[in-house]
Amino acid sequence: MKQRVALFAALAALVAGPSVALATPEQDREEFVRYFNKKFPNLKYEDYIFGALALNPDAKTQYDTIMEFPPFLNELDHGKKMWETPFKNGRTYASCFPDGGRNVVGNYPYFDDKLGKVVTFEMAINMCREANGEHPYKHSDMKTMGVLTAYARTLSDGMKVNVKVQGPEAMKAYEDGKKFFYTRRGQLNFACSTCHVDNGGNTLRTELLSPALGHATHWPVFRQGTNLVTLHKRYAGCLEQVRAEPLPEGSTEFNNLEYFHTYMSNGLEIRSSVFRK
Amino acid sequence: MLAAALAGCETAPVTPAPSEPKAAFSGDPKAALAQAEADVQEAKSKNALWTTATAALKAAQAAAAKGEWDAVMKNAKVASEQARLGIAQSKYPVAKHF
Repeated sequence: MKQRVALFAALAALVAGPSVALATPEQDREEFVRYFNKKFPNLKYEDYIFGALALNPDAKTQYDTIMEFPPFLNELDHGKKMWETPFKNGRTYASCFPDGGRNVVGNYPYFDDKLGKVVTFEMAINMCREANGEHPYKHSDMKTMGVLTAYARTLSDGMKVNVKVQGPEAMKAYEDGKKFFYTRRGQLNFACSTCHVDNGGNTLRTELLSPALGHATHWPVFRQGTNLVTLHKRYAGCLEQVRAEPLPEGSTEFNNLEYFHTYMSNGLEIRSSVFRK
Repeated sequence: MLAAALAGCETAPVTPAPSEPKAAFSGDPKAALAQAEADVQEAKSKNALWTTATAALKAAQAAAAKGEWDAVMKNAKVASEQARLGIAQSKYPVAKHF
């Protein structure tokens, strides 16, 4: 009898397992939005792009004041100069993207069927460089990749995130990213979701934890005014905070995480290069 | 008594040179260190390495360089334990709740 029960339970688990895994990205996103709408019924959907600031009116007022004359304008100017400076062959970054790089970031990351992997905006920048005879930048180098994308991403401000997951390989990458997001790591035994879903809006020590919805819309950020932090750098920082060894910025794991994470913000506006505490 | 005390004062503290293991902890510190290095490497290969395991391994390696075998043993055991916990954690069910 016990064996039959165990067999039945195993079969039930097999049936239940795939049904969870086969939730479409859109179903995942809708559940995500529903969860946060229930948790923060007074928060407007479009305000999720402000992260934890949306939950703290005083901090949001300070942010608005700082953003009137941001302390990182020099960095953005430098990024603009990099963006506009021609390669040795005379071409520019703008030549690599539709509409000169305006309103493109919302389509990243995307899954490239030919390459068989997720392509982030940073990877597209490096592909552009290599196609024009330049060496690629390190994803972790804030003085090159960081500053350049800090400006380039602003060219898409106002564009709505529009990440697509189409085809089995893309779905696999999405599922990998989703699994990463919900997997516990580090000595503190936290998943990304522990802080930014379960405890989004709660205070941890002195910090208000941001909801994951809207997370991927506003990178990079300038923390304390001028400390440039990209999304992957933040991923690495989060891992260290839970006492897990960080993975390299630009790694496949982080790219897939960004794929899932950004999909959850589909429909929200890009607002890049912003101040954060 | 006095002579013995004075003789003690004359003797400058000497840092012991690296020597063969004579650990208070049971087991072979060199083997424990090798095991810790293997465990940490395995956890790293599974993207399951904790910073605490890395720190303990570094401490064990530094202690080995100084011949401090008790410290090697102690830190190597911590490194192995934390690395194995990280690997076990990677097999937990995901935290998804909806």
